[in-house]
Amino acid sequence: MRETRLWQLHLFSALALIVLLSLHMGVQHYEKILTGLGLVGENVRDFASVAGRAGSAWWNVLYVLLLGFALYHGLYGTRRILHEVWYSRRATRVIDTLVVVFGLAVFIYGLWGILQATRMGGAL
Amino acid sequence: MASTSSRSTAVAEANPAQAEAAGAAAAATITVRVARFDPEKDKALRWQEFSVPTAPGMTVLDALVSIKEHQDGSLAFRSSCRMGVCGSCGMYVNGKPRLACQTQVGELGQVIEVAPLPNHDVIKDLVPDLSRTFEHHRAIKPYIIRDDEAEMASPTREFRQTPEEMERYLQFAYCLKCSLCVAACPTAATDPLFLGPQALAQAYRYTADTRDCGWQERFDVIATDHGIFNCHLAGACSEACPKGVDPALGIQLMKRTLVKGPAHRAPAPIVEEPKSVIDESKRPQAPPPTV
Repeated sequence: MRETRLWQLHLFSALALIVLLSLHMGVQHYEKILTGLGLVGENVRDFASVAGRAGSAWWNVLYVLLLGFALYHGLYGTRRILHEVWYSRRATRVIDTLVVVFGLAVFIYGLWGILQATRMGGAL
Repeated sequence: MASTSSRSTAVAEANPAQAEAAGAAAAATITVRVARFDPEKDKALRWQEFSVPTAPGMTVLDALVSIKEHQDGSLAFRSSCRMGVCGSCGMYVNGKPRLACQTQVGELGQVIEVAPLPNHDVIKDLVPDLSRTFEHHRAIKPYIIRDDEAEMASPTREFRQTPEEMERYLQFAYCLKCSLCVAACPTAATDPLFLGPQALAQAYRYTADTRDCGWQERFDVIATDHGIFNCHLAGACSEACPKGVDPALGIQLMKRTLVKGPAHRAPAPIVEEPKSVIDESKRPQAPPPTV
């Protein structure tokens, strides 16, 4: 049942990515639409705006979730492809271990980056 | 033969143009390119061409039989029922996995390429090694599993099942085990440990059967590293199936069953003992045996 849970989480992460990426892309690249709707101020990519978001707990939670779900979704797919390329039982165990170690390392590094940005945003 | 000759004469007298066309059709030939492989001599497949006279309604299997009878007796292929029931004659015909006995040469053009099924080892010429398909099929426990072992060992009556309950798995029960779906599967092409569409669809067939309660045993086999979640949903298996079974649908339904559990939580009970018995004494009896 472990594989079933992992697959369910893969599907859930896809749904979460639709929401989280929509928010991210909406704010970063389609700000005119949001500005037109009166949801954000102008110049969302100004340093002050970026630093303001970096200091916001809501935005940081959003980016931690985006990082986690994107990593999980991508690495789950990569793992499946690698299982087909190297298909021995031993290779399967090695791939699983590498994917988990790589995923955790990148997640911790990303988390550190977000915390640094929060500190800088809060300092302004 | 006599009747054919007399019919031909009659047609020739009635309509010479029609007789000429019939003669031309009888003399028409096709080129059959056959992949040959002898494990004792060859390291890879090699192609050999045969010219085969055609006849109306001729199948690829008929053409191969004709080659074996009249041109090369060493050609190896597998066949049995010649009517699309046994699933023995699965081959790769003009780039698609098909049953040779169900494929008419008239649909395929002047040149027909026949090769052994992809994604399988080759035993000789057009004979694929189906042992991996059968191994995977066996692994998913393709039989009714129940917890009432005494009833299973010595059944007293039938298990209850409505026509609607049977409809849930009926199409998957038409599987011939011909392995055409496995030959078409892109995942099976790269991962030999992948259970494959045949076994996975059969796992659903038995799990959806209300008489069964062995789903947990099947879940343990199919929800694994090289199990059901490796399916790319290409749908090639469903295209290839000669009996109209939709293994891709079976795999999707099985995924849902893995998440939500089967629709039935307990196996179907045996039918109740009839309350009234028809009086058989008034029925006419069969005459006594004469021998």
